[in-house]
Amino acid sequence: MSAVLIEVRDVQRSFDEGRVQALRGADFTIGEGEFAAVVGPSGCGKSTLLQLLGALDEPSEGEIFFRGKSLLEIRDLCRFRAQTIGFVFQSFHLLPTLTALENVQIPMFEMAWSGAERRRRATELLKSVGLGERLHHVPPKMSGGERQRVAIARSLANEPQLLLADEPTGNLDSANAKRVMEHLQSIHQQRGMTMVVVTHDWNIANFADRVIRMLDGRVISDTRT
Amino acid sequence: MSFLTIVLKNLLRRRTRSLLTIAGISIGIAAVVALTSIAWGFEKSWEQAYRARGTDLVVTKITSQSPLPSPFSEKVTADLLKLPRVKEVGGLLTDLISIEDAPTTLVFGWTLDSFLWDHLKLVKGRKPAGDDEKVVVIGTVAADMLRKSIGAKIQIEADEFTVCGVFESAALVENGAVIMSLRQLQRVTDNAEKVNFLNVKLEPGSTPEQIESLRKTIKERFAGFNAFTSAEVAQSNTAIQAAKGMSWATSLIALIVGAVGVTNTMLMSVFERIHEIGILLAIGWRRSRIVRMILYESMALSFLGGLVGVAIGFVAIKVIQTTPMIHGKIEGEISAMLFGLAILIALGLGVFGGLYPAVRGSRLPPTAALRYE
Repeated sequence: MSAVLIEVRDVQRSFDEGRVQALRGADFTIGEGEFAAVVGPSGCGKSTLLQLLGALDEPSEGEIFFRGKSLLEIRDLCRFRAQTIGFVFQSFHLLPTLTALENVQIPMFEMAWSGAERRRRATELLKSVGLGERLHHVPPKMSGGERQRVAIARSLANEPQLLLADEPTGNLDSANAKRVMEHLQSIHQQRGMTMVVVTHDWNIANFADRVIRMLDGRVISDTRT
Repeated sequence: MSFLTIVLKNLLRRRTRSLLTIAGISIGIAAVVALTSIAWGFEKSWEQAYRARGTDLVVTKITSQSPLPSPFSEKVTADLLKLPRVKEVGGLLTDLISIEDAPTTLVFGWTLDSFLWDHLKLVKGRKPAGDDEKVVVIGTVAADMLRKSIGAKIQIEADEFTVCGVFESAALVENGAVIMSLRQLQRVTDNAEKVNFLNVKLEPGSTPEQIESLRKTIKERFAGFNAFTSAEVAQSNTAIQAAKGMSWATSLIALIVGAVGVTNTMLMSVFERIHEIGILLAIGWRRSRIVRMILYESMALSFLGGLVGVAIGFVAIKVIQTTPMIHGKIEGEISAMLFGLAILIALGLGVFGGLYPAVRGSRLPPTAALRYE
């Protein structure tokens, strides 16, 4: 059993002064180097869970620990996110006026790297996702699959310890979806990076080594494949 | 890619809006440049007048700090001459008089044997020969303005004078003036044996310490009088102060309009980019970096507005100087200091106008910002 990277301890999240219970209690751990998928229908709380894991939001109850340290104790969550977590979103969330190369460099501003170093790393990352020929294209001039690969390259920019993907294939056709998942799987295998993918699609979940099923804000099963 | 590339690309996204903001700021800065230049030039022209005359100290009544202080007895001249290091004292009377159809003109009355005449360069004619002679000398600008030359008759109040000379002076304010003997102006203005300025010339080689010492002595011995150096008399002049105050007040209004423009632009820009700011926060940008990005954008707009404003202000000064009211009397002060000050003010506008949008943008919760479309 690998060391625990994330521990989710009785986490709940409600909105609208408690009237909306998005997460009703989640308890699980994720080990270093695991590739887990969180699966469930729309509105089951899986994206809320991902935002909590990524320190984008705080639980209403319970705590999340990263390498044994509560996220509530981390004073500079921006810095924590920049150095520790990579995000891949369903809608890509790229900056439309910046080229692919520039988009990938964005998170690197929080690292003490020179401009040349940022450029070199971004170029390498884009080549690794098969976009070596599209470095200077802006997102509106790229296909959905290409945009998501730029987003994957950006998520790896600061060599994070955890990669969180929220419906990464939600806006892609099946061919592109498969290609994106193969990229994520390859990154997981080559780098041994911990990954958590949120999806409603079992075909996508099957790429992971572990599947956590959610329903109505609760974890209802946790199986390893 | 540098941080500034991101700032620049953000500004170029809405080119028309950025250009309009730059235009708004530039008008404010142009107003600052033009009005300040004229106000400083006004001050400088008076200072020049005293320097050109070789005046070390100017003695006036304490309450008389306007350009035309109320007259006092010229007998003070004799008492001043008794003080140590005082070489000469030139009494003069000054008034603003509307001459024929020209705008208000400065008219000086000088004692004929005073050193005040020494710095004037007569281009044509001669200076007045005696106190009883009803003649005037006029500056080159006044000659143009009044369309008079040697031998021409000139109506001043109820009297008719003859132009006996045309002169040039290093002091711009004198070039637009009419000068006659002190006695004649005292008669015309009904101020017999009165002056409103005493120009004191000290022995050559007098040190600043000696000038300062004499000034103290004058203040102590002559109750109600004060003595100023050339620079001080211009600075303490209430008309100059009023001109400077007016220029700053007008500039301030222009600047407030500029600041509101920058704030509006940056707020719109932040509202349009809430989603993008959410992305930047989600991928780890610190809030201080978001603040910096928005502030740099507003400062870049202001800086460019400042540069354009300085250029427009420069042209405006040249245009203002050609107007009949100003022409030949005041030369706008154009200096690196003025332009530097204008750019600094522009940058200040950028910080002031960008701060609120920047702080507001940086405080967005990343999850809410990401949801915002």
